[in-house]
Amino acid sequence: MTVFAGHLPVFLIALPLLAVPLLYLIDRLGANSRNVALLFYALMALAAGVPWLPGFPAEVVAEIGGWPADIGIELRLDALARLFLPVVGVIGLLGTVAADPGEATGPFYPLSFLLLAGSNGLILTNDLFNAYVFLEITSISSYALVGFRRDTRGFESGFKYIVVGSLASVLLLWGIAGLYAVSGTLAFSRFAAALPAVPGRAAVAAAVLVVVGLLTKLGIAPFHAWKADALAGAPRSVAATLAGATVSAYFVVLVRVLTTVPGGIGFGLRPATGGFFMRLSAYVSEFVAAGIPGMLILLSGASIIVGHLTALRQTRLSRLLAYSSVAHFGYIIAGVAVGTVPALAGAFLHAVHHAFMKAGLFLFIPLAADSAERDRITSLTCGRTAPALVGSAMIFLTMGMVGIPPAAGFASKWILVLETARAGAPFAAILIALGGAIALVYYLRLSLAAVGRTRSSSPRRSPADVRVFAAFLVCAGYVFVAFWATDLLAGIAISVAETTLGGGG
Amino acid sequence: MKRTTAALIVTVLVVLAGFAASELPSEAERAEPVNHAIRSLADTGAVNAVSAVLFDYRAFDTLGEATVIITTAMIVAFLAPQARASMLSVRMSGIVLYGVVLLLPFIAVFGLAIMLYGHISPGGGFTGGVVLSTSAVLYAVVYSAGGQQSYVLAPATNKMIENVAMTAFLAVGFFGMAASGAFLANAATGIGLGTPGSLLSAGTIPLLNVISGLKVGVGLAIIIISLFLE
Amino acid sequence: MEAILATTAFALTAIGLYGLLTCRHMIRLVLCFNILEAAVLLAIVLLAYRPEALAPLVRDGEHAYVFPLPHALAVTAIVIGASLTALMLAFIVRIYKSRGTVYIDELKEWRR
Repeated sequence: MTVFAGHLPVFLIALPLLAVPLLYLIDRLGANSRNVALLFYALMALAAGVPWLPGFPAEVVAEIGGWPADIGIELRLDALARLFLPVVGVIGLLGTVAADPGEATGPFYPLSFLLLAGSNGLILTNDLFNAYVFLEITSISSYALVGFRRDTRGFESGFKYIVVGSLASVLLLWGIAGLYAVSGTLAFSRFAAALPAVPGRAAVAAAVLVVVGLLTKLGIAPFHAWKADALAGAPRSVAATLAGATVSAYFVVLVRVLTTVPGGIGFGLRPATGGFFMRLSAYVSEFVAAGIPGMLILLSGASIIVGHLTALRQTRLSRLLAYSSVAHFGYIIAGVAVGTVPALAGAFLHAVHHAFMKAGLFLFIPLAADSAERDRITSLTCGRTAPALVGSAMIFLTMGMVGIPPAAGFASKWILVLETARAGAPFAAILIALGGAIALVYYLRLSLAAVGRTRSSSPRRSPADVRVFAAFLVCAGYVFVAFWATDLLAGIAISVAETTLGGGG
Repeated sequence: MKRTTAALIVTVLVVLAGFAASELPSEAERAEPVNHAIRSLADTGAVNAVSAVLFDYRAFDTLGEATVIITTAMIVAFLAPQARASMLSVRMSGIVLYGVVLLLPFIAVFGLAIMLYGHISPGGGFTGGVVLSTSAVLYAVVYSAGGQQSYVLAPATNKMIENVAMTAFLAVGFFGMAASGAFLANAATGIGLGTPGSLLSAGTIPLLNVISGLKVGVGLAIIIISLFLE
Repeated sequence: MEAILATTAFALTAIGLYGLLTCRHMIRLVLCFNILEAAVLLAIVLLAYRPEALAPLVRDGEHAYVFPLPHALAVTAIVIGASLTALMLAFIVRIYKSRGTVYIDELKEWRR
């Protein structure tokens, strides 16, 4: 067990990479690679759950090439990785299973595996530059998947995504160079020792560049402009993967940077306080003193406001969901920014719940729309397969997004509101609560538009439909089960948050 | 965006960056980073310390970056399928056609030399791969003018080489894992580092040099030819 | 010398950012990205520099050598930058084929 456990981090990255030549070989032999791809993906999702088995060590460190972190690269399967690996694996699997067979041609499955390998690498690596490399693998695969339909819309939104994403990677690279210049190391686990506890201007500037680069990849306002285009231009199953799995991996890297680089969170710095109505000068000095957490809380507030208000005006479901993602990552970043253990736990919990809810709602689109192009909210239906079930599952998912019990989004949002308020950021707490109210408006509109209408045309049922249906129900089922398992999940999230904050600071 | 707004934003950012950089710690007060050059010869047997970092200490990065190239090649070949040389409709003159054929062996040998001697002299898999890809690109550009397609290697062969190289890189990694317990391990596997400076030294580094050189060369050839012959 | 090169890196970044914000021509956007990439590569290679040190071809233990790690990072970053450039160009070719334009403000998807 221990030998295998020590190699698991490497397997989680190397095996998806190995899938690329494997699928090529199967294609060359003339066989259909789809079933093999799905089976292999399912195995990888299962492997991501292995760290939860009893008897698995709490932390596994795999040194690549046998070199320790200060000379080489090491992979670290810690509590944070253990929490997010299954999320990435399972949602990636759902998105891959639900792929339209007509669209999933050519390099679709190899790209899905590269996306998985990149995401797993992002979650596992303990080296900032290695994280950059995996970030690029993930990003490049997602650019390609966004433009995968080879139609004009896909290419235009794909190009926008690439330009913004490339700018983000340049910023990130500048930040990495800066952090290496001030600390002489690239390993997350060594930043705290290599930098003074109160870092200088140069270190903070470098950390800000890294954080801004990652926030752009996450789609936080004001760096969110690409997100709606990318998610609306992508094939639906890909959008589910990108909105659920890939962003979770980016989020993990962000948390790692924030908890290990001095000046981030949990380093005894004053968390941002929310004196919104203070005098401007006082506010500015307060903000500067708050440093990176202050910047994060400001950006999270902007994301919540911009995301919800823009979502309200959308006529297409995919764009609405994308803007709602902007707002929800605002919630999550607010929780991260205040940096206390319960708030961070709330942020983790909400990130996991949001991943499943958003993936589920993106999978609702192919069930509800006649074609991928037509996802106008007013023309949606509840599909032809079991419309009552689909409709109620969709309403349940939107309840989760708004934060109404008994759906899983309720508890995590409740924790976030309480803990941001308790940690001295009442402004953020108010915004999170208000955001739910706005979200209620547009999700009600969606539900009212979709429910009660079944699709009359073409009663033919394709195998893809059944798979989308199953994947959609799995997401809804998770949201249902997770609500009743809130105590268990919150306990896990709190222990993860404790380890994450304790390990870095 | 308005030019003045853009100029204003950029100025503010540059001033901020300069302000931050002005406080960079001096040589004395900064913790001196690890200099791999001090230990690389003993650790890896490679004279070229950059190659030692690329293919031993941080070989995982190299695996990732070779994957990036393969991914891009896959995507570009899919998005811009090779059709015909629409950009060049003229036929090349005989001087160009024969000149290229005469040049090709030299370019190929030069690329291979850079690749094979990557661990003992400046160069390495990536540089050698780029040189190799130029020969493929040159041939395709010159001989595909006027409509018909000609390649040094057919696109299907390129794809196969790429996948074989990917498998080989991972195989070297798993070999290290089997022999010493660490993925991509080199000296620890006990394969012997040889005499520093000789062609067959530095353990797995020359092997990884060739593998990544093939990956980069073939990948770049696919990318450039796809974009060109689109 | 170091100061001149560092200033160059900052200046190139400023030029690239300004171009990225103002250019409407897609190929120029790609070029601006390449300028940004070159600037950051210059900065990374500069991190390796030590006065009086030799290129890291280690023959013996008597000399001081520049740091090989940033050089290796630069090689990796170059390859990734080249890949991104190729990807952007592929997208531009496809957009030009279907839309017949290379100007971003003539793209429909960008104006919503």
